[in-house]
Amino acid sequence: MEKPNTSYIDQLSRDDIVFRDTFISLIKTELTVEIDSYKKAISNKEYLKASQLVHRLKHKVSILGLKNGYNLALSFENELKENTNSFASKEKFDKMLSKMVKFLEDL
Amino acid sequence: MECIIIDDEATARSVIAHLCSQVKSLEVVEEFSSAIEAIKFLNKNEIDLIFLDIHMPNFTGFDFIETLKEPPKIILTTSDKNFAFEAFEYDCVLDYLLKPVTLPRFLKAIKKVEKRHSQSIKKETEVNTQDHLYVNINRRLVKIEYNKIYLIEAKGDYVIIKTEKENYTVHTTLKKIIEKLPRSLFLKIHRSFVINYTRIIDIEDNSVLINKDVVPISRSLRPELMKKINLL
Repeated sequence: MEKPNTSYIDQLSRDDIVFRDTFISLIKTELTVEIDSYKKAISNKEYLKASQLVHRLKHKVSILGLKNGYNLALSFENELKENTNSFASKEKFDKMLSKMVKFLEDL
Repeated sequence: MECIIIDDEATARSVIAHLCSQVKSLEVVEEFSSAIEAIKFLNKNEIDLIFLDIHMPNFTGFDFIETLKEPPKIILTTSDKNFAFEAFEYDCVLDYLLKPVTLPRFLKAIKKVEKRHSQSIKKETEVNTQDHLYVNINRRLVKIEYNKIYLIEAKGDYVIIKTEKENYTVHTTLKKIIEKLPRSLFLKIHRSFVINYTRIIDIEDNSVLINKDVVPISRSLRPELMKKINLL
């Protein structure tokens, strides 16, 4: 199972430690807000809105180096758009979000 | 080149702004979380390049492009591969960057933009063989010789053409007027100012004294000005 990593962030920041710290802090803040909005949209059965939030979260999945996670997010985004009511990817996606949050907390 | 970033995601804007900071010729003048805000800004300001997210709620990047009468150069940014075909339907779209954007890929896109930018400058230079232009002032076409103009300033929907004797307020854009002026005399040094650089009195840090006007110089446009002057 792939794990979140900072390869992309390190590559982007190079030696700029101030940018690195600010950027990580920004991801943490934005991720928390987006996850809350996503959960709210799911509980309100606003699946189109949820799909838009998953789309935004997809970028952060990629930033944290989760290549398979990106595909998972993409599938889930499409499931939400199609509104099939059987969201096969939801459980895995939620687990991945928890992993990302934990990883960022530990940085 | 002066640019703006449009993306509803702060993390994405931060990535592009950071990458821009590594290119001397680029200056981010503004960032927007919605395309609507950007339209308001573009109604009053001219810029060279837009980094535009395609996927935004309510008003997408493509909706945004459709609203622009004279779009500047655009680099699209997105997390989806499947928009590429539609993206290149627009002439103003020069590249398409997949998120998360890396520095090498970003630099490749900027090279394309710079190439297009220099091609358009060359084209404008070739076209211009006049030594004057006519402007419409209160239904009167007034002739102004290029060498009499020392400064042109953008003010909302108007530009002020300054000569030693008189100032002319014309309903046009800085972009349109630049296209008429010879590159051998005129240079844009700020998003709101074009100067006749042969009339400069002195240059101090980030400003130019020209006649009695002190004009700011954009960080990204300063290298071009320094190239033009005959520096000892």
